[in-house]
Amino acid sequence: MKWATGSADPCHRAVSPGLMAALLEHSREGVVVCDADGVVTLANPAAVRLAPRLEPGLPLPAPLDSVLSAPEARVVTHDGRQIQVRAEELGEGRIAWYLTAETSRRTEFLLEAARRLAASLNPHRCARAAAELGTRFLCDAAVVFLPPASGRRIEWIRVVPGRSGPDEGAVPAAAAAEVPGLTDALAGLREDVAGRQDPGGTPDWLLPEGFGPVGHLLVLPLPGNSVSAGALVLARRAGRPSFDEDDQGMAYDLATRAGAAISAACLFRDQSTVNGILTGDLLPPDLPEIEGMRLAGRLRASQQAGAIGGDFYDVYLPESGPVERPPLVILGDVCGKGARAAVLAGQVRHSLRTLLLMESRPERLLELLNRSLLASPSPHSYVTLILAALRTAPGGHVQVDLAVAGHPPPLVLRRDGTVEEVAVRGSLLGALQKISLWPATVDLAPGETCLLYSDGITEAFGGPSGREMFGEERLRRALASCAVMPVDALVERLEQLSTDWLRGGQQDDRALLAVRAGRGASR
Amino acid sequence: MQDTPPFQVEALVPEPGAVRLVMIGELDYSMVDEASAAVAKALAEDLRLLELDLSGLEFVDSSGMAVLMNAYTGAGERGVAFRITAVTPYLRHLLEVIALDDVLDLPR
Repeated sequence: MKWATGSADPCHRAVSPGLMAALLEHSREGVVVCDADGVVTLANPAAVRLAPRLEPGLPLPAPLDSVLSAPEARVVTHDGRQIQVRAEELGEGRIAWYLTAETSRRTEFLLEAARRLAASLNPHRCARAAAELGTRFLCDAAVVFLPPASGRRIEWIRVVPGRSGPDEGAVPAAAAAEVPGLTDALAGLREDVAGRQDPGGTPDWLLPEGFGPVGHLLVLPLPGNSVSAGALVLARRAGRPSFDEDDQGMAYDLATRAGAAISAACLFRDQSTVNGILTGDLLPPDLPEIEGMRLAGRLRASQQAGAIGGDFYDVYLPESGPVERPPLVILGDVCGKGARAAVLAGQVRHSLRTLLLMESRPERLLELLNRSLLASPSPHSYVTLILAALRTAPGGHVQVDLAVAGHPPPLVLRRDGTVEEVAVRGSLLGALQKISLWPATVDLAPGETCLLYSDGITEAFGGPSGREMFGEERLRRALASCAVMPVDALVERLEQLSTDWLRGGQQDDRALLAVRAGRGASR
Repeated sequence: MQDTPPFQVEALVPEPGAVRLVMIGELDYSMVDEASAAVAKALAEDLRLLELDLSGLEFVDSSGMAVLMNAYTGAGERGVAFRITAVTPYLRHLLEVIALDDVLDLPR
């Protein structure tokens, strides 16, 4: 620390000179004191680091001497360095200058911008974050215009500090054209690099009532990924300083970062929408009411993000046409996981729907499906499948004609609580030129249940050791305990038992479909 | 699952023109690429016989089963004889479910 000889310090008698010196020594803010003649009497190390030409005993160097005492800091350039300077009168003609590196505001802004703009994949929340960053660092009101989604109305999000929450709205393109430079900015064009526009042309709707006249206006495009991500409007009230070069640089940084964030969020939103449309068709169908029986099903995908997977079931009700047939249910499993498996599962379901217009014999259907899979251009199209035709019979019975291709055989829950595995099997589909099938028919008395399931249920790893397979025996015992339950509750309970068994471990795709003979909710 | 035996595949040449792939551990979705690569590498050679020793394979999921099927169909397409020399009871049961036990002529 540099002290001018002979300078007294009457203001701080309560604080010892040693403590004062230590405080100033370690302050990160530069502190400079001059006497009434403008000669430096004190400059702490932080001040000397920022302005090396400071020397006690010499006059305050330019341009620091041009900063007059005011509550707001000014930015000056000293030896090519940007310094924020605030002056304060201390009495007896003495003045203190407080110095901070100008980069700190910029650094703070960049850090905050990175943190806020990366936090969301929702275009509206990104726009709101950009507007809030604008008002926090640059202006009195910030409005973000989002790129028009349908080419008609343009959505905007506005932040004005002191008002409750951001406002949102939408304007037609014609109204947006009233804001100077906005049409060009939305098109990604920049006439003036700085983005400065005539504040007098600001339409009334842009800012809230009572905001007062606009003194300074910046309108900037938000650069997106090859297309515009919207536009940013920053306004300062009349009487406030204009946007200086630094402000304009920060506004440009804000627009660039906000544009990147909003375009990523828009892309994510659009792809999610497409995803939703594509996967909608791959989700399991609602199970219909069929006279004389009840159906219940559960499907869980291993990959929660897509909610789709390689397990599937479907129901094909009789249709008027050349082929007469009973209602048919299928449950199957495509080798693999996730979207790729789900797409093949969807193709199998549609292929069957088409084949059913011409063919109703389960064995023949499976043979045709096998040939279609062998002809499939994508390799590894292996599918296991159960096909069950459901015929009502006298006395409330249901005859289930089963054809099984490479799939675990169904289980039957009898009225007395015994569980039987149906003796039915056959080759999996998509692997062999000629498949072998051993079909079977099961008679269900009223209240009896035939359960179709996928191996994701029995091959669930977990249990007390975390390493044990749920297994067929455990599934049989669980099914036996469900004899008095309504069929909906039965599949729900079996799914729950299998989930519990996993104990939060990795799960495979899992499917359950139960058919119960008879009317009524239970038995 | 820390005590999961990692999947490993080793290629042996029991006699000229034959490759025996010895697979051990758990062949599931995550190890399919490694297993497929081993099969593809074996089939790329001038081969008369492809053998799989699966006596150390503790678990196979549907994706893993697809690898075994690919080995079988891939060998068939190239006129290479295919044989499974050893299986676990679990794997034999799975192959019975998909009705390939006859086609593959499993060892007793």
